[in-house]
Amino acid sequence: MDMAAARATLVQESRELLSEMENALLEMERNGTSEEGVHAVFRAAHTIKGSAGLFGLEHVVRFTHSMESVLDGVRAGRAEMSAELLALMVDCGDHLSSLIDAVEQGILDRDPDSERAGALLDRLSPPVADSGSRALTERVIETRAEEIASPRAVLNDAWHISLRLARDVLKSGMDPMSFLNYLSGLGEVLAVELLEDDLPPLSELDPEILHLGIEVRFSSEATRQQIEAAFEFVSEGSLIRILPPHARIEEYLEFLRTMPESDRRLGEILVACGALTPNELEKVLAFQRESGEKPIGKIFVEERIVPPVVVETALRKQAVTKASSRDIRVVKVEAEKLDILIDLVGELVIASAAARVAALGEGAKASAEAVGTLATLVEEIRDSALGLRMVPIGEVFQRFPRMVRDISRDLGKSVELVISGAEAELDKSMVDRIADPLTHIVRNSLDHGLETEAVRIAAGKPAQGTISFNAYHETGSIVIEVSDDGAGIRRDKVLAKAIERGIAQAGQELTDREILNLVFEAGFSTADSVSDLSGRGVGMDVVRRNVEALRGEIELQSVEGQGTTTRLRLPLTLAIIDGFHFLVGKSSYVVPLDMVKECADLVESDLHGGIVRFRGEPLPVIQLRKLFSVDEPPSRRRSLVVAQHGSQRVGLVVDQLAGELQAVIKPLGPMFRNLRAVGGTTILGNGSVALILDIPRLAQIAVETSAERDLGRTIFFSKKQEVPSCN
Amino acid sequence: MRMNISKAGGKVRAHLGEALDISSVLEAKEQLSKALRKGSQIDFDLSGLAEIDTAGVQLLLSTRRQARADKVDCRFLRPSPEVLRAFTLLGRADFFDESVHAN
Repeated sequence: MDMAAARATLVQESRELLSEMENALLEMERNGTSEEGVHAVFRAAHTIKGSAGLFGLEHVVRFTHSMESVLDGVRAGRAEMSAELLALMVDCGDHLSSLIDAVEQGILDRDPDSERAGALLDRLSPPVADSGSRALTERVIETRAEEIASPRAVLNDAWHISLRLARDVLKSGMDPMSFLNYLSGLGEVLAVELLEDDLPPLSELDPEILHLGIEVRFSSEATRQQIEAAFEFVSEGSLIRILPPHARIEEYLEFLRTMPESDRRLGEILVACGALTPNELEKVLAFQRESGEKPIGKIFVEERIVPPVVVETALRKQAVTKASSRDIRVVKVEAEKLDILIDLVGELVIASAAARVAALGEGAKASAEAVGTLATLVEEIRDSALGLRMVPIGEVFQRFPRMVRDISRDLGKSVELVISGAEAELDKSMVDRIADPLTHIVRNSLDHGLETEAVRIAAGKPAQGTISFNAYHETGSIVIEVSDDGAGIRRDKVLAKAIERGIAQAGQELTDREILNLVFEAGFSTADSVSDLSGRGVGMDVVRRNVEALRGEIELQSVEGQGTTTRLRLPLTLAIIDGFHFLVGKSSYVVPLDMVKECADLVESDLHGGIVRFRGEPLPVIQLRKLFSVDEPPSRRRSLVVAQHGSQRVGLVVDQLAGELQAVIKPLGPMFRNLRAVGGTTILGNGSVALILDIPRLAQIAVETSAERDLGRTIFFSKKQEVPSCN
Repeated sequence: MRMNISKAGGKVRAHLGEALDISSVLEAKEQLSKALRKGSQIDFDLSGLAEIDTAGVQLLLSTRRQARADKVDCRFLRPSPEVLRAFTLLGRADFFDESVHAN
């Protein structure tokens, strides 16, 4: 076994558990303690302890054990989950996190910060005093319990085998009779009882399915394993119980309980084949009657067979296994494997398109149909594969409650973080890269935006400030909003600073939007004092750069005295998109289908330079043949493709509409990176290349310049060089 | 499964032949159902059944249930050695009826 890989898994899982633990603790700090929360914290500590034990990480085991004992006391009602204890647990979680980090670094045998560990353990220790001796007592008691058990053995000195074979066992070519014959070879089959309760009359019978149960009394010197081996090939879906000679009466009790037949009915069968004496059966049924629905563990305890501690431990063990097995609904996949899959799916999409073109070209109806089916399936695979990469943005959001709590405390401010839209999904590759910009925006709010309690109360606001995260999908993008109800952005301060930094000139007339956008300029900061949190070096210009590197946009909205909202808009990634294809001259272009609002015939008389009258309203247009210097003469009937991105609409004047297709986005090479209007390329079914248009940019271009002759220049400018706006 | 049906004096007698196992139970079910509808009394002669497996045993058990439900007086007679062995192995040696009137 590869230890390094196994350890990496341990580290990752522990981190996930620690994150759950922290969330549970923060939730309880906010809304009060709860049984669920305590259990979640306990479970995390317990699971980490178990895994650490497997790897021999004694120091981790010791530390988590101490946490566990205290939590156990809370669960048992011996201690209270006070605010102090919650904070202590958060600190312990932090220390545990640093231990896991150390494990990742390869430090496996000691605690790198034993001083802190010691201090924490001291704070934990008062309720922990008994833990050592308790463990010892448990062990002693367990052995004694086994000795006590023997007087309750049944008289039956033979094995009892219960067979409820899977219904399709006959169709698989297996026959219960052959098992019985085999057993006869291992020993002596003393009695067989057939259970026919589920056997219907002929008219309702499916004769190929097994409706019979079999109870066997079997005398043999063979071991349990040898007996089990007889049923090796039939196990799946079959219920096979084997009770040894002189089994304890509780084992029969448990057996009866797990069987579908009524206790008395099955009990009678057991008597009939000699597994139980009539006396023993009565005892078992009496047990059942008196205890009613009580779990077996409790019955044992009350009969003073097994001391309570042992039972509790056993039941708890069961609960933990049940809990952890319930979590196994997720499969971990290496991101690289996913990427390979997506690549292949991309190729598949292209190949499918090519096949379609070929089939249509040949005119063969059967091929066309088959290829059509293929295309539908490929589409489904594509959607599935892309879906694999999507993760809920909540994954990113969940890092923030802790940060907000800590920083607001440091700053002496009272702030609450509210999250909505955590289920909105975005591409996995974006998740990490969006965390930094969000962090900086949040820190800005905490540091500059939100006022202290005193200032807020004086302003008539609630003492506690609020930062909210919101996320939602909108026409092919995911929108993330970070809002605060703080002081808002002071336009006068921004302007003053900008002038000071030479970014703007005094006396320049700027719109409100332009003033706000000054915040994004390099070297800008309005902090009166530079705190170590923000304001030194990392400005909003870096944030914008990060967002734009993700092909996204960032926008500020603010009302002085009320608050600020930062809105990020990111594409839902798509390596493969549904596109709309059209031609200008002989050249093919594709735009994302969900950005296409409408297509219409172009009424040439309604077109005036950069504007067209569409449905009575002016619509900015781009004449693509001008933009891309297309030589061929325009077609007589041109079309207008109306595209929309966010709130901006733009019309594209094209020669020919070609319909929908799936486009695999091939990125542009470095030479073409600065083309403003083109976001990538794709290969069409007929092998030719189509340019994928960047609608947001085109919309911007259309708005900025309506003069046709300027369009030719615009396309070649990179973002750094701003086009002076022309009227 | 081969089945020969004869009627004598209001009594139906069905001879089951050859094999009654998983490969033929589907067909045999139809045959047995039909036989049960032939009259209010029927004897199944099992002396000719050379092969039988659990599916076959199950089918015969189900036939008896159906007969009871339909109020048909149904008897299972003269099991062949193989049939007897199978039923005994499965704990149902008591399944068969004594033939009072040997034919």
